[in-house]
Amino acid sequence: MGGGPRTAARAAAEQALAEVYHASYRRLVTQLYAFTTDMTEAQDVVQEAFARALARPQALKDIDAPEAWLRTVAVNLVRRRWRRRQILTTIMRKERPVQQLVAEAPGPERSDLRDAMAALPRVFREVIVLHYLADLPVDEVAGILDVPVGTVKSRLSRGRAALAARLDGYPTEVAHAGS
Amino acid sequence: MRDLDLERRLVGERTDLLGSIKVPELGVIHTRARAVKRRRRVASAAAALALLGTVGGGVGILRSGPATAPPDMAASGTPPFQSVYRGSGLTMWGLTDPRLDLPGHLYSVEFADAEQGFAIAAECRGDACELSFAVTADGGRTWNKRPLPIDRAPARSLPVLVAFGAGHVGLTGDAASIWSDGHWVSSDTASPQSVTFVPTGGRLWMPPSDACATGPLYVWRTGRPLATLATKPPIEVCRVMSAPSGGAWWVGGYVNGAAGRRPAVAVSRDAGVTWQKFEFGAATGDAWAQVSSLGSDVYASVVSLRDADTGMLRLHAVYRSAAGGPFRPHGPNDGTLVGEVVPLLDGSLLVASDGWYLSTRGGRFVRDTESLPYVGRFARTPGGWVALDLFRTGYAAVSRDGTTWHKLNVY
Repeated sequence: MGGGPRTAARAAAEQALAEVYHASYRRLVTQLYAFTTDMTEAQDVVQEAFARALARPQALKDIDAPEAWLRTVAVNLVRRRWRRRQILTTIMRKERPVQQLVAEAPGPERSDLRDAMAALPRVFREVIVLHYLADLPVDEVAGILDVPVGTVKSRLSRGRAALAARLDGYPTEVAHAGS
Repeated sequence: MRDLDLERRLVGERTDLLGSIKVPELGVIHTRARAVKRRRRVASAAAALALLGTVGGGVGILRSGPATAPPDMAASGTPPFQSVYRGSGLTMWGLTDPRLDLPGHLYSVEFADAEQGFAIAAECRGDACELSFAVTADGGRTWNKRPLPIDRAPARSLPVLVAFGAGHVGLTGDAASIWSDGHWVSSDTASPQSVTFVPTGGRLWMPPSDACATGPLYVWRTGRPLATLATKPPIEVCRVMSAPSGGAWWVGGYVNGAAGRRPAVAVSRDAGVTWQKFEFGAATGDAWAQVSSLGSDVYASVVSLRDADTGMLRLHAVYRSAAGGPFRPHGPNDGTLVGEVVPLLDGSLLVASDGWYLSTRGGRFVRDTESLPYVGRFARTPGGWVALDLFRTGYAAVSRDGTTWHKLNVY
C-alpha cells in the first residue's frame, strides 16, 4: 500500500503534466480563441484537453510534443462542437446574428480590436489570432490549419486588410491592400 | 506604416489577452479527468451491453418505466466538479454527473413544474432528423431516455414539447400525443373539440412562430385530447404566456382599429371564458406585444420581427403592470432579442441577443462581458425559464428566477 514503481511513475507523469499546464495554459487558450472567438469556450476546451491527457495512463509522458497534442485535442473538440451547432442551426432555422443593435459599452475583456477580429471571416481570423495573438510562426500556423505556408501568408495579408477596414482610424483603401 | 500600426495594436492585444486569462487550480483538471475516466468506463460498459444485446437477440435498450427509475447514466461516488459561470449579477452552475448525451441537439425543453422536465433532441442528416426524448423528475439533475410516438421528422417541421399539469407534456405535430404516467397517449388533432375554459392543470397554447402568426388558441388537458378555446380573445393573438400569472391567462398580439394596427395584450381571469384587452401606443406597422410575468407583475414587450432567418426581434417598448395596476412604460425602448424578455427580481430585464443583455437604470441594454457563455434564446415554460443553445453547442439551462441558472445534465 505504500506505493510501488507504478505509483511513482504515475506521480512523475502528473508532475510533468503540471509543468506543461502552468507553462502552456494561457498560450493554448489564446490559440483556441482563434477558433471559438469566445474566451469562456476556449478555456473550457483547453481544460477538457488537459483533463483527457490526465486521464491517460501515462498522462503526457509518452508524447513528444505535449503542447501540440493538447492543441490538437482541443481543436478537435471545438470542431466537434461546431459541427453539432451547425446541425442545430439547421434545426432552429437560425444563424448567429451578424449585427448587434443593442447599445453596448466596450468591456474590459473585449476590445474594439477583438470585436473586429471576431467579425472577420473564419479563414482570416484563424491565421490572425494564431500568428499575432498566439505568437505562432507562420509554419506552425500552417501545420495547425493543415494548409501550405504560402496560403497562411496570403491569408495574413488579406486578413490584416480586412481587419483594418473594420477598425476606426484605418481608411477603407487599406482594406483592399494585398487583396 | 498603417500595417505597422495595426501590428503594434495586435501585439498589445496579445499582452492584454494573456494577462486576462486566469489559470485555474490544477485540481479543476484533476476533477475533470476523473469525469473523463467515468465517461470512458460508462461508454465501455454500454458497448459491452450493446454487444450482449446483439448476441442475445436484440433486447431493446430503452426503458420506459416511471420517471423515478435510476438515471440512464451511472452516478459516481466522488463529488463532481462543477463549473460556475458568473456575470452581471447572474450565475450559471455547470454540468454535474451523471449526464445523458442524447444524439443530436436539444431544441425543445419544457418544465411542467420545478421537478418535472422534458427534453427532445434531433440528429439531422439533411432534412431527415432522428428524434430522442428524455425526462427528469428532479429538476434536471438526472435524466432518463424514453421512447417517442415517432422517431423521425423533417427538420423543417419538428414537433415541440408543451408541458402542463402535474408532469404532463404534449408533443405537437402529426403524431400529437400527451405523455402521462410514463407513456404516450395519442391526442387527435384532426377535429379538435371546442371547450369554453382552460381546466385547472391545463395549458392555453398556440403553435410557436418566430413572427406574429395569429391563429386559434388550443387547450392542452390532462387525460383529454387537444381542444380549441371557444371564446376568441379581443385581439389578434401572436403569443400565449406558458402558465397563468396569479390565476390569469395572458396573451399578446395586436388590434386592428380605425387608427391602424396597435400592439395589445389581453387577460382572462376566468380561465378563458371572458377577456379584457389593453392597447399600447403604435410602434411600427407590424409590431405586436408579448407577455412575461414575475409574481403578480406583468410585462408587455412591444416587438417586431427584425430578421426572419434568425428569429431576431426588435424591441420597441416595455410596459409593466404592478400587482394588477395600469401598464406603465418600464425600462428600455430599443434593443434586439431572440425569444422572450425575462423580468428579474431587481426590476431589470434580461434578453438574449447573441449574448446575455441586462437592462440598466438608464434604460438601455448592456451586454455581459464576464464569463457567461453564448445563449441562443430564453423561453418561459410552466416550471421555469429555459436558456437554449448555450455555448452554441445545444446545451440548455433552467432557472426559476432568471438570476440563477443550472445547466441541464442532458445534451
